[in-house]
Amino acid sequence: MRALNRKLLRDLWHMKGQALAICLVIMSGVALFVAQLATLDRLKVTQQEYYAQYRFADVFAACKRAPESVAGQIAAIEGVDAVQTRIVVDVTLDIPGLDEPAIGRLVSLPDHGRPVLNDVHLRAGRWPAADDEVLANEAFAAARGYREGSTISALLNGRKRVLTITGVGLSPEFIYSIRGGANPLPDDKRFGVLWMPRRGLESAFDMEGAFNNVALKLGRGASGQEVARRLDMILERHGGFGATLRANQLSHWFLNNELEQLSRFGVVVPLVFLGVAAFLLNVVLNRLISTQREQIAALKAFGYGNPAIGLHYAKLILLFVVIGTALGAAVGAYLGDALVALYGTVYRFPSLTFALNPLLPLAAGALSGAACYAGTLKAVLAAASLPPAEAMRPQAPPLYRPTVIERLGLQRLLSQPARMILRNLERRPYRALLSISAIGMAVAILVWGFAFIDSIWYVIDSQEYDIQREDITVAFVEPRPQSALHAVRAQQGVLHAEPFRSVAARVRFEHRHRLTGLTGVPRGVTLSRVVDENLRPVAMPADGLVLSRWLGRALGVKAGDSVQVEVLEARRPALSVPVAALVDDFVGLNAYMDLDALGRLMGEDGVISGAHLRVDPARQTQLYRALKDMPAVAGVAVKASTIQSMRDQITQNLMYSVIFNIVFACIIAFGVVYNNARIALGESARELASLRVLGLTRAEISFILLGELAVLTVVALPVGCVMGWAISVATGELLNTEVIRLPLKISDFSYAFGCAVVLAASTVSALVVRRRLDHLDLVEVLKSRE
Amino acid sequence: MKWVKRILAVAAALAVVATVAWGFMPRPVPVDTAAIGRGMLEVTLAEEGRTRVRDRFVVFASVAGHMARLSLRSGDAVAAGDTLATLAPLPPQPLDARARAQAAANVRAAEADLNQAGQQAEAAAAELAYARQRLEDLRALRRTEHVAQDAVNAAETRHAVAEAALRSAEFARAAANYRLEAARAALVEDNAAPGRAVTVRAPVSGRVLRVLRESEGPVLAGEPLVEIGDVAALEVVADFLSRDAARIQPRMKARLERWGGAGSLDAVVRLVEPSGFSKISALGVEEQRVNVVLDLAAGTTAAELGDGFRVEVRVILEQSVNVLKAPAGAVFSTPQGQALFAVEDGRAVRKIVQTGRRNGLEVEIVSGIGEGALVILHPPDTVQDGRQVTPR
Amino acid sequence: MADNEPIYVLADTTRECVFRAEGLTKVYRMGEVEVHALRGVDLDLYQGEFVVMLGPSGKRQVHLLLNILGGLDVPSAGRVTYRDRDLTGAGERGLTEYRRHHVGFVFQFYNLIPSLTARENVALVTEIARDPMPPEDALELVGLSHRADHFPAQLSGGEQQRVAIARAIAKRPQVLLCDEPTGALDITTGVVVLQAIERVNRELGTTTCVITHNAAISRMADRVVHIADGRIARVDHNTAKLAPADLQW
Repeated sequence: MRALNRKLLRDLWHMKGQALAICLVIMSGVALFVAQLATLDRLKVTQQEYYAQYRFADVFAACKRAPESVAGQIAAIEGVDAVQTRIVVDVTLDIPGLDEPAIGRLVSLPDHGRPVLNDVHLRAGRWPAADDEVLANEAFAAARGYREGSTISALLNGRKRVLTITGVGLSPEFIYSIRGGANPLPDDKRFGVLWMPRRGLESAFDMEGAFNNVALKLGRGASGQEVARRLDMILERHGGFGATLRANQLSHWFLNNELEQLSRFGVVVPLVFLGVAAFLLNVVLNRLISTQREQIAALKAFGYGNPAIGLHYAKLILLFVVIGTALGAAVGAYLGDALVALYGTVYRFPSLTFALNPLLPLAAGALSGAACYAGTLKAVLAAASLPPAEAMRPQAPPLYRPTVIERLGLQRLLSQPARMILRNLERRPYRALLSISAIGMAVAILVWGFAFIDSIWYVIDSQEYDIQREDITVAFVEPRPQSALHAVRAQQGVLHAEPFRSVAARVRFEHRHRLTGLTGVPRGVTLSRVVDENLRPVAMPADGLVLSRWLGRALGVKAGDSVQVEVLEARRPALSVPVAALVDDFVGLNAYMDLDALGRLMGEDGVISGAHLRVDPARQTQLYRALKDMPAVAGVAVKASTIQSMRDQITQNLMYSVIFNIVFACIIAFGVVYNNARIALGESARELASLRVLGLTRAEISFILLGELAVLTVVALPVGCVMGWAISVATGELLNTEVIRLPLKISDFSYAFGCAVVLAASTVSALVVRRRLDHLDLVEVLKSRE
Repeated sequence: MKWVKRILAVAAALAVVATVAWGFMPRPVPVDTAAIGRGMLEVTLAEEGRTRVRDRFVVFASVAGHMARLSLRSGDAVAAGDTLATLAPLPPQPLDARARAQAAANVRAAEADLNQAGQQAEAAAAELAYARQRLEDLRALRRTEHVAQDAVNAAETRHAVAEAALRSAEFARAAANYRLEAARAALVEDNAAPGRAVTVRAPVSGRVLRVLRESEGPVLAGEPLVEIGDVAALEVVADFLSRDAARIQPRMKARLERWGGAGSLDAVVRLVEPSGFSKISALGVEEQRVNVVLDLAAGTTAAELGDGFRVEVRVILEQSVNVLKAPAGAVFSTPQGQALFAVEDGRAVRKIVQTGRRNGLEVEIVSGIGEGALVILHPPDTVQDGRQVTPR
Repeated sequence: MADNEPIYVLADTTRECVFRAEGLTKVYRMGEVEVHALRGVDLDLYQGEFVVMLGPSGKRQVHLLLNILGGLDVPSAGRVTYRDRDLTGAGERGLTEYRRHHVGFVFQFYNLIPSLTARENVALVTEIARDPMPPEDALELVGLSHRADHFPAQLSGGEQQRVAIARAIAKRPQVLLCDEPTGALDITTGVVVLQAIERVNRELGTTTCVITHNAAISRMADRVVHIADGRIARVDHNTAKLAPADLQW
């Protein structure tokens, strides 16, 4: 078979341009597959090891204050293997140079030994020994440039204390370092975790012999829900806020969600590329076989059986698959390395390294093989079973029919070349359709990628301009009476203040329940509003709840149903409350009520958790300082900086995805157009040469050849826009989670950009083909039989 | 024809490029708008306050006594002079063993004293009898001038002295008798013969606001029993930051909100107290505050309002009627002054405006834009002068 | 043997019958047209003979007949036997095996693999043959040893055809079927090609069948079969075979 193999290699070399284009497409698909799935694999493995090695807990609960003796009760719950009580408090940090306060979460370390659960990995420095020494989490320390010996000033229970950082640590509890609340992104400059010896926290917060946070490890086969329920019962009298299972622990939830997205898109996106590659190979192979008909006939005449011929072409496809996969694996490994590093900046592990599971390139190869053969099997089988006699007969001249336009009687509008273009397109409608689809796919990929970005900006813009119209939000340590609102309003620089009451509550419907924040919204609110997906404000009904639609969905309720609301603070009332409406909001699972109605529910009058303020910009800095120092104030959030940091972070992360999007879309667009052009050139070389002989210029025959491609491309642009829209709609739901919903908002810019990029790529590849066309050797071409 | 076809081809190509380019052009920004209207603009100060009865009378127990159970209830009407409570004398203190022994001993001592006094009285009587006899004798002798006047004088003197001594002894005996009675009284432990009850009367007509002491039992002198006041005459007191109180003048109008009834009540500032006091605010900081007292406006009644009810007091510092006003969210400050974005012909136009009064929600527009003009609320960053916008 | 002497060969019925065709009929579709190319052909071919089949110019009948004989096609009706092997019912595998080991083809347009050199084109066939001659020998036989490593694009038409002949005979086939071998060549080149074919027939004793529209070529054959209207019109025996160099067209 050696001579036949040589033919194979020479054939491949002969179409190296097209082969390269196709291999690049396969490479793109494989690279994405390998990179994403390898990253997924590494993250999963690292996560599991981290959790196991540092004893990440299974159940988490917080309460107001419980005596240490309660730990014994908790340990006695059936199914509990280990209990770790601790003190966790969020405090205001006074950071020089940062005029808005930062929040530090103080987590107690046992006075002796390491934590039983949720252990801390010491990255640098030493464990804190004295009462005012702390470990800082790595993300925060890095963002703020803290090192061993740095000091940080914190407001502990109304008194300013200076804490010394003795080291930098990491814990599986804070892989994704986020405070909770409206911002789903880590804000490492303004939120840090500080591990402090328990003694220090006890004395600062009058918690001697008491705890306010507990973590549990479950035994094998124990029911988490059951344990959580028992835990809630025990902690209720100590002001328990509701136990959560590991699945809902913030850091874990975010990480898991990310991994899930990665696994979904890790397979779906490469399939798109492989689909395009399959299409291209189909066209190329069909063309090749049709030009080699007589060769096939000769080979069969000389006794090469059908399987031998079939195998020969199958090997050709195999070459594509192998080269594409090899390149893809290499690029994928490189990309995966970068991707893992990128993840490492957001999800902090003690060590996160990239390693390529050797099975992945094999799987990728199998996948691309399957795709490529799916596209070419028919052609290969056709070649294999081509009757030699038929192969030697000249092919019947291609069947041409009058085009649609001519049937409409409009042919006078068209020149002969134009008629040739149109007839050619109509002759092979399937190929034209598939080409349009493939080029459209390039547009679609760009539109899809940008649609995602458009959605994110829409959500952030709506957050900044429509939902959060306040400048500052003040939150109190404990709920305060109405007079606190007046007191805040009376501060210098406050133009307008609106109160809010915010409680933790469990909302229950039948057997389903969720822990959520219930927010009381004052009547006539102008600052922090509840808006629907069209950014129209939603007025609170006089009685009844307004729930996020996702929350409604999770609970299985619709407007009109009544739910059980168990408030986990203050008087802890449990009442049945009707659901007045569901709102399509973007961030979080929220429950809202009229402020006064909530007050009635809580049995309170005018008690508020905080206030939203509109502030005179000239006095803003002084106001922060004043508010920061007030003992009753737990935290002051400045909307502008929170939103800005969100924007910065997203921009950074999206930049990479944008670049890759463009590169991959260009590969597809270029590949498809170039391929089609070359094949069209091959098919019509003789015709075009004849036309040259007849006296048409190079420009005119270019028009005929490239005109067909131009029509395909131009038609493909709107088709691609529609495809992009359709893909965005289809995958839109996949991206929605309980934390954030992305509405479909594709900007015209996205469509335009997608079209522009594909137009540019098509133009470039057309010009490349045109060069070939210009150098057509007329005599040679005319000599050939076809 | 060739030219036509060429032009058509070029036109087609340009059309494609233009369509794509159009996609790049900035789109109108969706914005929230509001119209500049005329109306009332109020600048107000609000604080939490409470109602109180203007004249509150606390009725105290005038003496210590045993009070019968008060049948008065909060809300009862009383007239001036009505008996509110009756204070009966307290039963005597029961004696313990030592006291009893001491009292008994005192009684015996008093008896002894009485006996002693009796004896002394008898002695004095005897002395007197002798002195009289002596005097009569001496007087008789004087008539016969057997003795000197001097002796008679002396005898008269002695007689007088003896009379006095007898009187004194009688008095002493009486005193000892009384002391015996007193000593015996100390042994009395029951109230078999109580004294006169003291009535406590209502000083004014009005309603009972609070019954501070309801149950039967001993009361101390000065213990508050009942609060009476005229609920119809309510005033409202609220404490403001001294800095804010300085802006409040008597006779300023105010509204009472969130008092529990429908709508709000009108009130008038009567008095800004001249003296401030320190108070820890709800935010935990110490502040100087001043009490501001308000009356319900003439003609305003709220039968549902009682004493000690919480209300929100909104003092109207300034009120402009029929001024041009814009929502506060539309106005922002620039180095050239206050500005806003008006919407004209689908574009945002930046205008500098002169503003007057402002409260948290609205700003008075003095000049710079006319009534009915559409302005952009909370303009997003992307809005600039000349940018296309679409009202939502 | 002198090249310009007439050769007298008698039809020899005692020679082995290599092909026997009985009632061959072939109908095919071309585009939307149905063509009845062969309408019942009966023919015998004998071992070692040189047969020329003449058909009317422009018609495909003779080509189809050759294809059927060579196992490239099956008749719509009738039977073909090669030696004692029934080709008509042989099936795809059988025909392939038949072609592999027994038949050599030469086509009008050479049908070389353009991406392989002359030697490699011949090697294509020798690699699957049972008892081939080395490719170099085959090329030697057609006088192209010096062009063994050239690609078809670098060879003239006549040279390409000769490579095709070398390819056809390298496996030492029993039968050599040539479909209009000189159709694309001028007379001088054509003569060279025909000389090669003649040499193979003479030296290797291969039964040779040449299809052509060119009547002049029939002068070098042992027998000439005339096909017209899908049937055999007549069979001539050449009493005096001409050498290829003597042919004129």
